[in-house]
Amino acid sequence: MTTDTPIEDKTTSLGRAQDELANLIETLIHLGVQVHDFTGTNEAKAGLANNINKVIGQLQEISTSHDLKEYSIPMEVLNYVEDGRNPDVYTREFVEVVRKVNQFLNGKAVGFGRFRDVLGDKIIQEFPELTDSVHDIKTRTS
Amino acid sequence: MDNPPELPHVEVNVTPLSDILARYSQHSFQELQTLIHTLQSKAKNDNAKKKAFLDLLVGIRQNFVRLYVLCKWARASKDIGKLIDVFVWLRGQNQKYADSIFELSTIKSSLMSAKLPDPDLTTAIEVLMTGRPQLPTHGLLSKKPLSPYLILKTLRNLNVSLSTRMALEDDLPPAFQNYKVEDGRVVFHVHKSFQASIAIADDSVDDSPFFLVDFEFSFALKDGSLIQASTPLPAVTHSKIEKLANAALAKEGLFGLYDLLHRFATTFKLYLLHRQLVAMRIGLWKGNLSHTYNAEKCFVVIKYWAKKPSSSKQKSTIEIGINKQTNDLSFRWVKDGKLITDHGISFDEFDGDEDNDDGEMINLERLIRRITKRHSELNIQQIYDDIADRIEDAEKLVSINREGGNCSIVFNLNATKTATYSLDALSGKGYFHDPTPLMTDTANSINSGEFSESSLKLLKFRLESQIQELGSMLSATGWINVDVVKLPSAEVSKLNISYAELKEPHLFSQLYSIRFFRRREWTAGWFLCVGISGFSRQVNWWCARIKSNLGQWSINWTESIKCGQNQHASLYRLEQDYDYSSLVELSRISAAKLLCHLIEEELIDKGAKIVTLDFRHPNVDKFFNNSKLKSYLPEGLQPKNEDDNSPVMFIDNNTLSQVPNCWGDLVLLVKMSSETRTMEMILLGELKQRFYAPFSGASGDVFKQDFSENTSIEVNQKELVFSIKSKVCVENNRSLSLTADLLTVLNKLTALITLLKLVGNDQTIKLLDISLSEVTFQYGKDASESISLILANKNAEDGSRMLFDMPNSNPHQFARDYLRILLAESLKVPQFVVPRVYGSSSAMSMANMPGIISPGGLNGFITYLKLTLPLSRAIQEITSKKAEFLKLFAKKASLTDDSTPPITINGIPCLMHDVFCYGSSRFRLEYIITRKSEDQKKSGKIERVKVAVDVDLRNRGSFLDANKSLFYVSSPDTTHAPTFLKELFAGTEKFEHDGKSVVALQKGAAVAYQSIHPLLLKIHDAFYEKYGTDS
Repeated sequence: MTTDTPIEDKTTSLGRAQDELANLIETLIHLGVQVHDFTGTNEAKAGLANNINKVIGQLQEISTSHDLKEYSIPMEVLNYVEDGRNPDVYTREFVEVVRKVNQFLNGKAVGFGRFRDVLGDKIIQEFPELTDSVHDIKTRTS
Repeated sequence: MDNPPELPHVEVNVTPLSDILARYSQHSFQELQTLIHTLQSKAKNDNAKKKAFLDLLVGIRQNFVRLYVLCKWARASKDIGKLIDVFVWLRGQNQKYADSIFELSTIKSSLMSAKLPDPDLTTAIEVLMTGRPQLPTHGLLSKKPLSPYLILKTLRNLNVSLSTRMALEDDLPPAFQNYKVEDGRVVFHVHKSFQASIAIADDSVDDSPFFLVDFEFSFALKDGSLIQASTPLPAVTHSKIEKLANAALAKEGLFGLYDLLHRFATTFKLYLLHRQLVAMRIGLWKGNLSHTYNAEKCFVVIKYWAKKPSSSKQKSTIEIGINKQTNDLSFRWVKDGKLITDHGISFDEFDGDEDNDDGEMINLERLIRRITKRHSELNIQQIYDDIADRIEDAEKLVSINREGGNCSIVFNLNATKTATYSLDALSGKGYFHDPTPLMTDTANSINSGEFSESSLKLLKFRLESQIQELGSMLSATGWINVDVVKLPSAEVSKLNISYAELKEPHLFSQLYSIRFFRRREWTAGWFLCVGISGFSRQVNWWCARIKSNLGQWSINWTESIKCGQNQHASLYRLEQDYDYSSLVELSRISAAKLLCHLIEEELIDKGAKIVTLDFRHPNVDKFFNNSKLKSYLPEGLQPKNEDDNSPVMFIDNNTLSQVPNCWGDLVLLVKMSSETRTMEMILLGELKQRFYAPFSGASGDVFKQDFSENTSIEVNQKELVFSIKSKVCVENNRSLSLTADLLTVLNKLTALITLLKLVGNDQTIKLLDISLSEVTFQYGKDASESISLILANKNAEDGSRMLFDMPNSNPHQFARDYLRILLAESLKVPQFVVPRVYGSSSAMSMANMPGIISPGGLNGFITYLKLTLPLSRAIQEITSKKAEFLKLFAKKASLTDDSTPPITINGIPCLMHDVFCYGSSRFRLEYIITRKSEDQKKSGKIERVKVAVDVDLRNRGSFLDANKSLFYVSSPDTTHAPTFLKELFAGTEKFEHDGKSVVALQKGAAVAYQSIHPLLLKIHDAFYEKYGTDS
């Protein structure tokens, strides 16, 4: 079952929502069995109606859980789930990409810093009158 | 330090979880609602409904499982959100770096102009003057000058090293064998090509590479030709060749270097040749020369004689390129599209020589001139060969003249004139020396056509020029060219033209021309045909009669005028080297030939068999030598007379007029007199024997008579030769027969001889007088009993050929009319040959003369005359007696003189008589007796009684004959006849005369012709005895 993993905290909104969803799924399974085994008796009808109402009630509950607004879901994750893939894979890959970009930029920043220093020195050498400006830039950017 | 600014939050492409859940819940509810609504319908069965319901439920559930997963993931969503922000920011930063780099490069490039110095006047002037500024050096240190000692030392060292290197060099290109080492370099001098210097970088002997230090060509272009002079390269080219040379040196050593430099020099040489050609093409050779220069493939193709039209495959070119074997420049000559290898011209000849002061190398113009000269020589030779292939003995007509360095072909037009044809070396076009318009036309035609036709065109030219030449000479000598005559080939073949000289007979029509000339005074249809050939020097001449029938010209008759020693000596030069005098002479000869032909034709037309020979024919000489006719030849017409071309016609006597008493052929001579434009014909014949009487007016034995102004006859009875001369004016005699007068005389002579032959054989006849037109002979006892037979002119009134005349006293006068008929009939007899000129004959009736004269002909006529002479005498006598009687009677009646009384009854004579002539063989004597009737009833009445005595000429044979013909004397009624007559008939009375008695035949009596005269007188007397006297 999808809900095998126990829900860690039912107190948080997310936990509640998770729980509600697990219940709904449960109910839907029951309803499915009922429909499958539906005989047409009044009892069955009553049972079915009861279950349907239950589903509807649960649906209503889920649709009104406004506190989940803070959880933003990127489109890519949504696509992952829709395609039946694990969204954690996305998480991992994304983290990796960000790390690489970060390192690359870091290198660039260091390189530019050095270039700035070299250029600054040269400018000072050729144009001594610009020494102050160069130093100002250096302090502002280091 | 302040806190860094907050990361900007990214909300694009992000959806809150609550929204997702709410939307899907609502969606699911919506689905369910829809389904439950549809469940109410009964369209589907329960199972289907269940299925649909289940499907929906399963779908919803699956999606909610996904949502569950999402929820589960959402726990990390806040971190991920942060991470997204970081990521976006980092990218922003990255962009900023990229922008910075770009900006830096922009700054760098924008700072370029900062390098330039400030504008200043000095630089500006420099730029203006040199095109570019000479920027100040960038602080380079000035070098210390090398000391001469160092330089010399280095050079010496280099020399040593180079010498060593060169000595150690195993293999040198042959052209490099000649080198010298000086100034620290090895200098290779390749003759007429280039000079190159190489050196080494340092003085190490083994491996230091050579490199090129200097290069220059050893030739240059000056005034349109290559000369030996050093030509340094421009700096750019020099550095380029240096690079290439060094590469070649490094790779292939000195061989590579040589190859490269040699190729370079050769290519440059070729380029200079191209420049030479360009210069030539705007000069003298303009238009006649064109060339293609292909620098990449290293060749120059020169097309000379460019204006000369020829097919593209047959262009004549000189191709200059690099010989693959020698790697040097050489040329190929392509003549008319064919490569010529045996021309014997070498490129080296034009590559100058060492001794040449001006150092001239390749002179392309000389080469081209040499080749074009050779080409024209070959072409001229070709033309000559073509001509020689076409005609025999071509060397008589054409020859090649190689004098003066120019090859030309010389045509012998006639003995003195030649035409020289040669080819222009510049344009390749043919031209004639000293051209006439015809030559110019010919040259143009040759130049615009195919070369292979040149020979034919030249031969045609020769023909044309001959035609012109001859035509002008002929017209100068009075001949008129007649252009309209066009003989079809079938007619031409009648002329039997020999063209053995022509090896290709099909060219005959093109190279042979027949021209027609006539003289003003000539009769229409007479022509002088001149056959002129382009292939031999011979000119053929014919005189001919040519007629046009419906535009088709045909030759009626032609005779070749052969020229040569055996023929017309005066025309000896005519055959090849005609001159004016011979052409004038030609008119005489041809006119003579034509006239002779006309004469011949006329004679043949009259049935004569003729053999015509020229006077110089040996047979003619032979004939006259054996004949007495020779002395009768007129002056200037003698056999063996070299200049004489008069024809002699031998006419078979049996075929023309059958002159009796003539033996052998008649000889007709024709002599032309060009001055008086007359033609004299002389007909000679030999007689077998003398005539029987002298001619009237003849002096001795020679008789001459002029018939007309132009016609005369001479008969020499001693020599037994007759000659008839007739002069005919050629100009006035265009339509009349030429021989008419001659033949008239001949016919008269024939008739005369025939007549004489008849008359002369008879001993009883005596010829009194002979002339050509008249023969008078006596057949009786005296001159009164003679008759003249006159040969009538052809225009005699009644068409009879012969008339007669007799003296008035001739007893035959009474039968004159009958004699005329008789004579005409006698001439019908074949024995008396009737010349056709007088063809008509008498149409008189023969009713009264059945067959009496038949084969005897004129002979019969004469016999008749002789037979009837005694009768005529008798009749004459009796008739005269009547006249006497009538005279007496008249006298008596008027004078009443009865001294010589005729017996009368009542004034009417008792006896009258009359003579009647019924035809030529029946006569009647009629006696009219007037007397008193003896009848009792009619007593006293006067009655008239007629007694007739008939005399018939009877033949015992079929024809008249002196021995066999008799007179039959009879009377229809003898009642009143005298007794003598009755007894004569009864045989009781014998009458004898000259030993011949009368034969009594009861009703009549037959009597010989000699006895008829006395008998008739006796009968007459008997009548007068009985009735005319008073008894």
